[in-house]
Amino acid sequence: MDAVLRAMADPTRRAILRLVRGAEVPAGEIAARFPTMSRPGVSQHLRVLTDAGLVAVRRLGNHRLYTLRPEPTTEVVAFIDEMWTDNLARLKVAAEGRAQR
Amino acid sequence: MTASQVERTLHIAAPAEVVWEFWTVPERMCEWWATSAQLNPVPGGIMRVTLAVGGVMAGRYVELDQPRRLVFRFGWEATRGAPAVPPRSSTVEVLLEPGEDGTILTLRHYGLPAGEAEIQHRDGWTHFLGKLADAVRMEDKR
Repeated sequence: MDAVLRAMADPTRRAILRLVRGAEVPAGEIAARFPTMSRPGVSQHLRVLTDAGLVAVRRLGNHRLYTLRPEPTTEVVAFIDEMWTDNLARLKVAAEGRAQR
Repeated sequence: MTASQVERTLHIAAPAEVVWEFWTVPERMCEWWATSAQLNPVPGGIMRVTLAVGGVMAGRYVELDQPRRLVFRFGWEATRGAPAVPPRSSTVEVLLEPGEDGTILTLRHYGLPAGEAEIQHRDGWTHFLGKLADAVRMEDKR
């Protein structure tokens, strides 16, 4: 979870998270809350948060709406876990077979 | 493993260079994951993998440090029976470390989406979000 901890290490990004908690907030409105910061600066913070999976973004017309992202469900995690378990087992067999040639 | 990500570690009796090819060369990928694959293993390069179970993994390479570390975006074009993970919406990190007689592969898959039911309950402050809540409380006290 390095990306998450890195994302949360910055006070501006924590302020953004607080802002988008429980609501969908347009990018412009987020930027307006940080008048001392350039628009690209705010965009960069939003990208770090999005990349870390902490916020979700949705397009609505010309707007981009940001909101705090809840935890993935057990169902999604279980499905992905099973997929990797099965496929990595096949990767192991295939790679070991190739290494022995 | 936390509830918010998938992590697997396994030993493979093959050099990291060999394992690396299985993530970057279409022919190799079709030996374990795909029925066909369109791969451009450079940062920003496309990764389109038709899966053996049906559906298409729509991803993008992000970081490549051959043969040690690989990061790519992961998502599905509509895949029957699979939970919705939109194209390029989640992240997979693959680490290949030299181990005894081969390679230790660690895979982390994070940034997975919440289900619809959970999106309706936005108060889910658990696990790593608990750390965020702590940080926010500290700032509120100032």
